[in-house]
Amino acid sequence: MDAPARARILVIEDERPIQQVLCFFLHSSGYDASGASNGQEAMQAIVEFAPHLILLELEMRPVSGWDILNWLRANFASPPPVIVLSTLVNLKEQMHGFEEGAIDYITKPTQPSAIVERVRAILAMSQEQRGMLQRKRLDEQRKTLARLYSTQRDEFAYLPYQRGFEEKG
Amino acid sequence: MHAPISGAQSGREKVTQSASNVEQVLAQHITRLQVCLQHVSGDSYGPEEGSDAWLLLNALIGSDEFDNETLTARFEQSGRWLAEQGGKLDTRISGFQLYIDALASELKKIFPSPSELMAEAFSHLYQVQASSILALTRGYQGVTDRLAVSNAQMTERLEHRLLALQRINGVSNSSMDLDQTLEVTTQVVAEQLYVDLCSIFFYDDLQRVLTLRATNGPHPLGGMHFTLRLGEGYSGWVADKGRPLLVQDALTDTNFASEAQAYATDYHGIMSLPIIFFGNDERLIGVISVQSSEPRDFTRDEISFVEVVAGIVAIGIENGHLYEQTDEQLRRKVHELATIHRVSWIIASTLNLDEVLQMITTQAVHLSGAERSCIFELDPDLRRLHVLAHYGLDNGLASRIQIDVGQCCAGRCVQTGRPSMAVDCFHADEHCFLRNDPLISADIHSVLCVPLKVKQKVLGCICIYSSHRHLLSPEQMQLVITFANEAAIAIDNARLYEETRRGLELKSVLLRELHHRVKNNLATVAGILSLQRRRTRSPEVRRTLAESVNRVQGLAATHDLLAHEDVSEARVDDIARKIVGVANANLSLPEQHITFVVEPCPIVIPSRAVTILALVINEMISNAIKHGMAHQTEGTVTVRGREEDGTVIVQVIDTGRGPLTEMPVEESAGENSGFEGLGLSLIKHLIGDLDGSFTLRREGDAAVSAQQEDGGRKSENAERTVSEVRFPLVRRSHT
Repeated sequence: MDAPARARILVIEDERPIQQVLCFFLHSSGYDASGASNGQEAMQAIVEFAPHLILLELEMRPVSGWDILNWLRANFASPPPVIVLSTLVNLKEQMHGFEEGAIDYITKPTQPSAIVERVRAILAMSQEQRGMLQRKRLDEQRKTLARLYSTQRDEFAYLPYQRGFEEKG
Repeated sequence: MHAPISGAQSGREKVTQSASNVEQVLAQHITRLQVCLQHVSGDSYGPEEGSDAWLLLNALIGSDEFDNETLTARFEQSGRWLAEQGGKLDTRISGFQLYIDALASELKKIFPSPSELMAEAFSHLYQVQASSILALTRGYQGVTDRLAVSNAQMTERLEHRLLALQRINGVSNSSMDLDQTLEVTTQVVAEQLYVDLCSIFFYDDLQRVLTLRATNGPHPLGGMHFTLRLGEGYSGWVADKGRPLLVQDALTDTNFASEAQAYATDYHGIMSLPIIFFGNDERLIGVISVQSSEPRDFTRDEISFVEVVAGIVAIGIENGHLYEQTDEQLRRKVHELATIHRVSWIIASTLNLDEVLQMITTQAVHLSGAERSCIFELDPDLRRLHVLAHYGLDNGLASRIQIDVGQCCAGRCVQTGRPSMAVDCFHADEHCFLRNDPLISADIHSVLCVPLKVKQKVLGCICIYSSHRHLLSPEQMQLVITFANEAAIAIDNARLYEETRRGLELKSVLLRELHHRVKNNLATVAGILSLQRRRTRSPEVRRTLAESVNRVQGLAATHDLLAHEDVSEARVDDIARKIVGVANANLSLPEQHITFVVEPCPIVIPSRAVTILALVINEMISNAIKHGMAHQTEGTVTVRGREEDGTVIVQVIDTGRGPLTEMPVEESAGENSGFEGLGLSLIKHLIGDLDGSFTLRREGDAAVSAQQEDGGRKSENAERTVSEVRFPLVRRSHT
């Protein structure tokens, strides 16, 4: 058995400086990191580079991160785990990301070291553990969403402000 | 039994005999007697034959042809004449008495000395007097008795007529429907006049025909709809001439016979009167006729009776007509108002323009009594009209219609900006699109075009097409104008809504992109700072760079909060939770276990204040973690909000050791002072924008002094640092 090959990480990010910073941190942490700046490049790289893990920006044009997630699910029986990087903080967007197959969801800006930590943690997991993590995240998001919406609705119903509005309406 | 009779006979013979003796004597003195009677009457001759004096004289002298019966009969006849000519019986008898008195005084002169003959003469005179006056009175009485009977009969008949009229008047004024009223009327008339048929025809002014509306029972043509032209039959004759008709036997005239023979039995006697309403102008309403199966002459009374009935019918029908007209107009108005209300409501409640315009085209047609309608929209660049909605047109045709401004009635209406009405204009207008559809152009005659205007800007027009050859009434036109205004508002609303929606969509996309770029830029900055931090060996610089990354992340969190699409009012606890989420992840050190508590606080902050409050809370929490909780491994940071008299109070409370004094800004020295000063001065400046204030203080149990520096660790949980902002809550007005 030769020494375990360095894990290959593909950073799909259309913002060059961010892509470079992340690649640098991953390299220096002992990973074989490669960057892709758009959807076409990414699809080609996934096939040729065969990454063990993908860091994916959702908001790209013309091919978006969502399209890549779909493409992965459609073309690979067991696609590599995907950590989504996004500027979107909306809970619904996050949940959608998990539903589309992402294993984790990191909102920008984040310290690159924190991202490297996530990468390390996920690569250390078995396939089953990853599946469990994904389900757990999805579940958490659902619960948070449900809680937020239910409390808001109930509490808002008794606000004096709301009452005043209703009377005027 | 026979003896008294024979006795009576012998007595009469005796009288007769002696009377004849007296008569013979008196006959010799006839001239004297005549003269004395002439004195009474004042005549120089006579007495005139047949007069009372003449009868008296003849009876007295016992003329041959003048027996007792004759005398009685003559005086009875005289009494009858007197009664029939309206003479007075007492005057007559007084006059008669004068003759008797004159004869009596003459007899005294003829028989100067009392004698049997004289007594007989006087007896004879008074006998004649008695029987004459008796006969006269009897004759007179007979006539007056007969007159009384006929008067009573007349009164009774008139009473019946009056009752009949009352009944007819009653049903005319009742709530009974017109046909029933007329039927009762014909029955009462037939009953009163003892006729077999009474019929009422109504006259239709437009079609110029009479239609049978009611009879007392018999119906012509086996109960079929029965009409007569003017001049046709006796009812038609009366309607045409406008005057009554009396015919003893209708079958003698072929025209009259044609109507009389339309019934199962032939009618002969006819009285037919026009029913005329004498209002502002005389108007023929119909004809009322009575017909008898026998030839008959109707009396003046009977004619008058039917005339009165005709008057009642005329007024009744006119009233009913007026009522129906008023009722119909009212119902129509209510219907129009309800429809306009519904149209307005739908325009206000829906943004579906197609639906609104479709409804307007439909309702405009229904309410104006037209057949088709069309709403055109103006393309201001091409100066051309196309169909937006229509009612009753062919869809293919409607989609192809293109009308230039100034062309056709619709184009001219848009050009002038004024409503226009025309009859059969498209036959002359070769540009008219209706010419392309012979099916439509054949049954359309008039068109009304009303421009759709909003703020003096013409958006298009609505056209109403009708099969009537006459123009619409001002009311109908006003109705269409109302619909045009509604349609114009609907089109304008829909355009404004579409513009707003597009603007919002664009704004949303731009906002998302902006958000993405800002966050990416911040991520780049954070990445570069992280790189710098890796490369430097100085722990001082490393720490400063780490804090800078934290600050960038804090900025990003605030940006998230502010750039969120639905940023408007937000609850205090929601704002705090978001800040805490970011601060917890980015600011606390891995070895620290800080518990964050956000207490429920449903106060809603207006959007402008949300931005500032978020930044303030961010700084307060950062301050609590970096300074309050410095050098501690665990603790609690609580965010608490409340409202007091319109002032919002937000506190960030940490269980750390806290600064030495209440406001440590000035006293702090060394490397941290600049940064700390920045955070606190940021809070003060920001809260100043909300007209609020900031305080930082230590709180604890009374037993524990805030000044304690040593041995204070045990009471650590009881002491806390409270940073607090207060600002007035100004709510957005919804009025």
